[in-house]
Parts: sequence; structure tokens; C-alpha cells
Amino acid sequence: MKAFHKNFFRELFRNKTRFVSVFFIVLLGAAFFSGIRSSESDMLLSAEQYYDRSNYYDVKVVSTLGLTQADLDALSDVEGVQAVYGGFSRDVLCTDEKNSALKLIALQENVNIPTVVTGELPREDNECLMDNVFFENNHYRVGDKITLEDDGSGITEFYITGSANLPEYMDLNRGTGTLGSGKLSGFLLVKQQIFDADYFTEAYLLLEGAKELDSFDPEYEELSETVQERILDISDAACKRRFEEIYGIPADMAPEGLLPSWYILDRDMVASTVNYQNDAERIGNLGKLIPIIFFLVATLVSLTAMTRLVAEHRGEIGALKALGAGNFAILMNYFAFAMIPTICGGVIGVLIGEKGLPFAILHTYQMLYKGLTEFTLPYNLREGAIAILVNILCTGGATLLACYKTANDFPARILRPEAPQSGKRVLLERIPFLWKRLNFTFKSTFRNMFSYKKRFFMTVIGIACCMGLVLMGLGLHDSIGVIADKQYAEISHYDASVSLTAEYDAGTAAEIVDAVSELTPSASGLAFYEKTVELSGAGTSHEAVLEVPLSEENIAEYFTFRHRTTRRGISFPESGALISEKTANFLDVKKGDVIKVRIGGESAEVRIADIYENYIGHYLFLPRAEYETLFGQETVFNRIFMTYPALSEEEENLLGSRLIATDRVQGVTFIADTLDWATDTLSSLNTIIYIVLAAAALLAFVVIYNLNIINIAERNRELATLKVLGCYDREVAAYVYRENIFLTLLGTLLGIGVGVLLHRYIIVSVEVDLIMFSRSIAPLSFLLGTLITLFFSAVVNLLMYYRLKKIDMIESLKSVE
Amino acid sequence: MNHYVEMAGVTKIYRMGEMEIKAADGIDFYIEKGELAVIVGASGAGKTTVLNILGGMDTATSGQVFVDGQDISGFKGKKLVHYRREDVGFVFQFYNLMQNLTALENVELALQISKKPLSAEQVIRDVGLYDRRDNFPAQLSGGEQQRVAIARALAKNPKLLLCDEPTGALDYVTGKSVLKLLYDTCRQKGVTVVIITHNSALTPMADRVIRIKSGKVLSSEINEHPTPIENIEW
Repeated sequence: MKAFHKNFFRELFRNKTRFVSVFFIVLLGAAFFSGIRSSESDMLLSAEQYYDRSNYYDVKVVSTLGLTQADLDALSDVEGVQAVYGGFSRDVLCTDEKNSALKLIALQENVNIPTVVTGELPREDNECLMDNVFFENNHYRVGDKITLEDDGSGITEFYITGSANLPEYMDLNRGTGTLGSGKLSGFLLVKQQIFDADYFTEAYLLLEGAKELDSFDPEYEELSETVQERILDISDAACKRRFEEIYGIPADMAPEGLLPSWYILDRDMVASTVNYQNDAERIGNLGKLIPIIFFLVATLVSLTAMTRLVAEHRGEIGALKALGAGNFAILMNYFAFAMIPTICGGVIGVLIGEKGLPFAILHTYQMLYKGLTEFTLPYNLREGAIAILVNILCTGGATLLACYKTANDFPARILRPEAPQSGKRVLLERIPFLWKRLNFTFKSTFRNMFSYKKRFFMTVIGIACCMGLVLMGLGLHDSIGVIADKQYAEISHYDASVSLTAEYDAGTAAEIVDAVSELTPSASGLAFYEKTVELSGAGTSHEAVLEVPLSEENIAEYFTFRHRTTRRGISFPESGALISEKTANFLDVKKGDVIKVRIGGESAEVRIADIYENYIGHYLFLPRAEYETLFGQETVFNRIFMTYPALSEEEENLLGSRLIATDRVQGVTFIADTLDWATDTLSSLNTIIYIVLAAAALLAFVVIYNLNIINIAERNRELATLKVLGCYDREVAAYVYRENIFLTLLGTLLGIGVGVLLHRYIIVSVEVDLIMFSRSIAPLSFLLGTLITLFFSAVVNLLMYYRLKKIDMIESLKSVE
Repeated sequence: MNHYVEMAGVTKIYRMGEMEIKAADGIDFYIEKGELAVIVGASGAGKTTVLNILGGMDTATSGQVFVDGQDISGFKGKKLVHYRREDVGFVFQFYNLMQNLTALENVELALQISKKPLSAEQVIRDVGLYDRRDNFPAQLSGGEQQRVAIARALAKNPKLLLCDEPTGALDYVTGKSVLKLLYDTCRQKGVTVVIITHNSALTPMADRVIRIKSGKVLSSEINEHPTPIENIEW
């Protein structure tokens, strides 16, 4: 068998271009597949490790009248509960950053352990550990002092000993409260002693056997649900006991609504935990579709490469079979040929992809999940194995398909040359009107193109896939890059957002508007009531920002409401609310539906007047009259949106300081800054997109190159005959180019459709909660995608020219005796 | 130097590493205008090499090749292609027609190339295949395909018609009719025809018989009275 093996390796080396192509495509597909799937599991794993390190609670119990030690004891007796810790928390208002509401949380040692980022834990009662996000956003330093508004507890100052993260606050969202604007800006961790209360505000529970499980595991869910039900069972008795404790009268005589109730919350109730899990899953979704395209192309390329190889070896195979080699041995020979680049490409692809892609993706998500400071990127054997296995199936299957017929055929038949395919009439010929008009060259081009159906479909599909991927990449770039502008230059196009020190009545608000409008030439302003509220649809609920304008007259100067798809403007309604598109989608409501709006403890039902195009944030605009009717109170105003003609940075800074110096103004945010922030955040997503684009472009090139080589090889005889007839090299080239150009154009056209579909699918899969990506692809991208595909085609055709020149007439036309 | 076709001292040497293969080892012969010449020799004698050089598909290592007063031995690149294009018509043993074009279209292909071509329809009529002009090669018999190939070569209106074992893949009867076609073309149109074959039985039909052995010309004889094809048996 030694000679047989020698033959194998020499042949492998002779066909290196072919195998390098297969190698590359397998590498790309494997890297992407295992990389993206690893990203999902790495994201989840990193979070899980963070939760475990911090002893993140499994269940939290809150009571409307607080919890006592007796409650804690009762809870720890519940089967399945490993430990119970009483906790304290309170909302406070920070006077330094006025209108910033913070949550004061008692430090815990055994549950919800903070991860210190700078400094150290507080030791004294007047020291605190600050939320790291709040710390960085407001440029605090260790040793600074933070002053709080006295809410009767007597505590007004804390020295900052450091900053930390808590697992409950992994993203930038700090939840809602009752103070200030309704939105909490951060938290402070302080010593338990300063909470002078005889009851706990919450109880944190760790469940038995929970730590060993993963949060996203259904088993964990089950375990938690079971224990939660048991807790619910004891809650009745506990609440009655508490009532009697406070009021001294038997619980049965409790008037309606006075009996306390327990809220049993698990990790699913924490927005950041749920969002993170969803985001990880979304990334996993990416891994479901894009790799399929790569695998499809890999199969295509290996099919064509191996078919070509087997065709060239026809004589040899026949000879070997005549000598007595078995069918299986021959099949295995070619299978092995295909496996070598496949396995090499697969393994290397997995090694690169499983580290590279998760790193890029996790790094990007860190912008939003600032609480997650450490992540792990282990090698994922399972995903890697699947990637390699699928590739083996694709290329292996293709190989077997390519050589099955030949390997099983009679030696005598194989030794004879393959009968040339008989010519066929093309569909176009049946339209004699058109056919007669075509000159000879076009006729032969069309015949050639359409007669060999296998080659036709493979080329068109191959090019379409690649064009589709390139277009998808460009489209993603558009969708993601453009929304910052759309949001802050077209939709929320005011120039400055001014927060007020308190909530003022309409008259005072109008005065303030006049005052601030004088601070810069030709400025105008509109006062709003802005509050973070909770909206509920049929089954789901979501946070949103409520905006109630003082008057609807000039609102178009500050906000443009329009339908995304039709681009038609929406006028501010007289009754009913305007809701942002993504929020409406989340709540699953449409125009005319009714939703519930909850502000603090009160709620009301509102009809949706229309849904408007919006990309960042969730909003609900309500006309003033309606607000006042629904909530039965006069509107008070806490914000002013301003517009003015363009200012330079210096002029804007001057305006800013003038505004802050004004009585009753709290703070200013300039839309220019918001636009910058949004652009920066979004641009990090571009990294992933550039990777996809580069891979797609590479793929496109490899595919087109391969298809062309095979094309020429199959038609060697034809092309040699042309040369003998006396065609110049460029004429022979043109003969091949004409077909290529048509096929490329067709493939590109089809690719447009593929790209649009892919793009839409990815956009929807990858969106983050707060942001809605634009669903449209810019016309320029279509052009660019087409140009890129055509460019590759052109380059490949150029390379083919040299191959064509080298066709040896005599060798190609040698008769088979 | 006033023969229509002449080869003088032509050699063709292939070098493969240290080995030297002499496919042609000093070929000398000439053919006059309007003659039908047959070059015979055993397999590997060198006749295909001669035809390839004459046809502009290959170049001689040394020696001179004259065609209609021009020395083509020095031609390279575009000049060689030009020679092939305008002055030579080639017929192969295995036809080498474009499978995707009809008989007529195959001949039309030549029209796209040549500067002064004949009418495709007329040439196809001349080879007797007018009724089959819209059929694809796969729908034609071997003999019909060869006729199409001949028509394609003739449509270019070449100076030389070179045929490499034209009847090699055909049966006895068909082969005869193809040879008759070549003979008639030579006589009626005045085309200089060169046929190479290993079948010496064909030599009586030729005006001139050139025998080649081991890369050299053994003999070159003229037939005063060539035998009509119908009377040749083999």
C-alpha cells in the first residue's frame, strides 16, 4: 500500500489551491459558528460566576409593613431555604446633584456582597461605598463627601470610601422610586447601624442547592418556584401576625386594605438580570443563521472542487479499479482528501473563533453592563466539536456525492472518456422574436450559461450568498450607525434639556421659560412634566418616560412625530397618547388599544392615539388636558426643552453656566452631548459588524475564484479548440467573461434579496431593550455591495486570464485512444 | 523556395530534465499548391508533430517552415495566432465541435474569426448537411460531425486544410465518404489539403505521399494518377 499512500500525498500537494480554498471556508464557518455560540455561553457563564462570587440572592421578600425577626425565622424554617438575611434600604435625595434620587442600602456580608472597584469598605457610620456607575458619571473621588437632603432621619452627609458594583445592578438602570424625577440614579452602601428602624425593609434568601445550578437553567427556575410557593403559603399567617403586632387588634377585624402583604421576588424580577440573559440569547440567535450560509458555501465549494478532482482522475480511478482496488478504498481516498483541509480548517477556526468573537462581543456589551467587570472565555469543547462535525458532514457529504457514481462504476466505463453533455435548446430560444435579434456571440453565451444547469445554479447561488452577506454587513452598519442621528437630530431635535429644581405650576413654569429664553438669542422653550412611569399592556409591562407638554402649540419645534414606514407626520393628538414604536411592540399594542399607566401608586387607562418612530428610549406623550382628567390633578412642570440657532461649543458652555446660575434651574443636558454619547456607544457595535463584513468579503472572493477555476477546467477542450481555430487570448477570455458577467449580475440581484432578509433577521435578533435599530438599508449600501461583488469578480477574471493563456492546445486536445 | 509549403531541416526537441526527446529529427519535404498530400507513418513517428508545426500550434526547435512564401518558423505570440486564424483550417480525429452550438452555429463560429470567410450556409450545403444544420453535435452521427468540422475549417477560407487522422474514429463506409469530401474540396476549390494517417492503404488517393519514420522523412513520392476513393479498399 505504500505506493498508494505516496500517490495520495503527492496528489494532495498538487492540488493545493483547491484545498486551501476549502480550508479557508471551513475555517470561517467553524470560527463563526463556535465563536458566536461560545459568546452566548461565555456571557452567561461570566454573569453566573459574578452572581456566585457575590452570593446574589435567589429570592427577595418585601412587605408593605416591613419584616420582623419573627418573619425572618419563619422564612428560614421554610423547606429549601438555606439562609435568610434581613436588609434595610431607603430612597434619599442627593443635594449635590439635585434631583438625583439614590437608594441607601445596608451593607451585607453574606448576601449581595459588593465588588469593590476603587477604595475600600466603609468602617464608620458616616462613610459609604458608592455605586461605581454613579461614581464615574459624576466624577467623584475617594474621600469626597456626598450631601443628602434631610428626610427626618438626621443623616445628611457621607464620606465616600470607595466605589463598588452590585449584582442586582449589572446594567445602567437603577430602577424607579418616588423621589425626584422618579428615576433612581444610583445607590450608596452604608453600615447597617444607621438604619434606625425596628423592622427590616426586605429579606434576602439563599436557597439550598441553588448555587450549584445556573440561573438560566430551567431546573433553577423550578427549584426557586417551589420554594417561593412555600413562602407564599406562610405569608398569610405572617402578615396577620404583623398586623396584630402593629395595631393590637385581631387580624380578622382588619379593615379593607390595611392588612399587609408580601411581595416575593426572584431574579426574574430584576431587569438587568433578565435583560442580560435575553441579550446573551440574542447573540446565540445570530449563531443560528449566519453560520448556515457559511456551511452552505463550504458544501458548494467542496462539491465543485471534489467533482473536478474526480473528473481529472477518471483515468487513474479506472486503472486502479481494473487493477483490483475496491470501491470503498477509492471512496475513502477521496474522502480523506477532503477531510484533511476540513479538519485542519475546522480546528484552527474553532481555536480562533472561540476566543476572538466572545471577546469582541463581551467587550461591546460591557458598555451597557458596566457591573460586569470580569469575564471568562473558556474553550467550549461542545460547540467546537459541533462546528467541526458539521463541516465534516458538509464537505464529506459533498465528496461522497461527487465520487460515488464514479467509484462504483465499471472500470471499462470509467476508462472511456465521459460522454459530453448533449446540447439543449434554451428557454429563450422559444421566443424567436428575441432570439433572432441576438447576435451570434450572445446566442452562444446564453446557450452555454443555461445548458449546464448545475454550474449555473452553483455559481448564481454562490455569488448570491456572498453578496447577501456583504449587503447584510453594510446594512447592519447603516441600521446601527444611523439611529443616533435619526433620534437626536430628526426626532428629538430640541437643543437643550433643562431640569428644574422642583415641580412648578403652569404659570411659574411659563415665567421660567421666558427667563431662560433670554439667555441666548432667538431661543424658545417649552415646559414639560416628565416622570418615569410603568406601562402595562395585555400581559407585559415596561418602564417608560411620560412627557406632558404645557401647551401643544409649538411642540413640533422640539419633537417630530412621524410613522417610520410611511414617513408621514403625526400631529399631536387632542386625546389619547403617543407611544414610541419599540415600547408599543414590547407591550404588543397597536393604535386604538388601551394601556395602563402607573405613576407611583396611582394608575389610569389611556388609549393609544398613534405610534411614532423612535429609536432610543421608551416614551409616552400625553396631552395636558387628558393627563389632568385621568389623574385628577393640575399638571406640574419639572423640565424645559429649548431650541435655539446653532451655537459653538464655547457659546453653548456659556449658555450652560448661565442656565445653572438661574434661579429654579437644576441642570442642563445639551443634545449635542447626548448625540456624541449615543454615537460612541453604538460605534462599539460596529466592531462586530466589521468582522462580519471582512469575513463575508473574504468568502465572496474565495467562492468566485473557485467557481471560475472549475469553470475553466471543465471547458478546457472547448477553449483549446477556440485557440486552435485562431482566437486571440482576449477573445478566448471574452468567451468566458461574457458568461461570468451575466452570472455575476444574476447572482448579485438574487443576493440583494438574500441580504435584505438576512439583515432584517439579524436586526431583530440583536437589538437591545433600550434601542430600536433602523430597519432600512441605505441606497448607498446596495450600490457598495454590488460594487464589491463586481470588483471581486473582476479581480478573479483578471487572474483567470493568465490561466487561459496557459491552456496548452496540444495537451488539451489529445485524443483518447 | 517556390514551393507552396516547405519544411527544411525542421527539428522538434523536448527537454525533460536531462532527457532529450526528438519528436522531429530533420524533416525535409515540400507540397505544391492545390495538392492533396498524405503523410503516413507508424504511431510515434512524428507526423502529428509535423502537422502541429505546420498548423501553427507548435514551433520548431530549428529549421524553416515556408507557407505561401512566408517563413513561419519564427512566428510567436500574436503572429502565430494570426497565421492560425487566417491561413489554416484544422480537422481533428475527434471533431472537437462546440456541444452547445448547432451544426450551422459551429460553422458560424468560424465567420466571427476569419477576415474573409465564406458563407456558413453555403459551406454547410457543400458538405451536404444543409438539412441537419439545426441539430446539435450530440444528435449527429460521427461522420456528420466530422463533416461539420470540415465545414468549420473550410468556412475560414484557409490556405491549408490540415487533417489529423480524420477517419480514425469513423467506420469504413463513413470514413470513405469523408475522404471523398476532402478530395472533392481539394479538386473543386483548389484548397491544399494535408492528411496525416497511420493507414498506408489510403496513400493511393493522394497526389503526394510523404512517409515519415523516427522523426525523419523516408520518402516523398508523387502519384501521377491518384486512385478515386470509391476504388480503394482496406
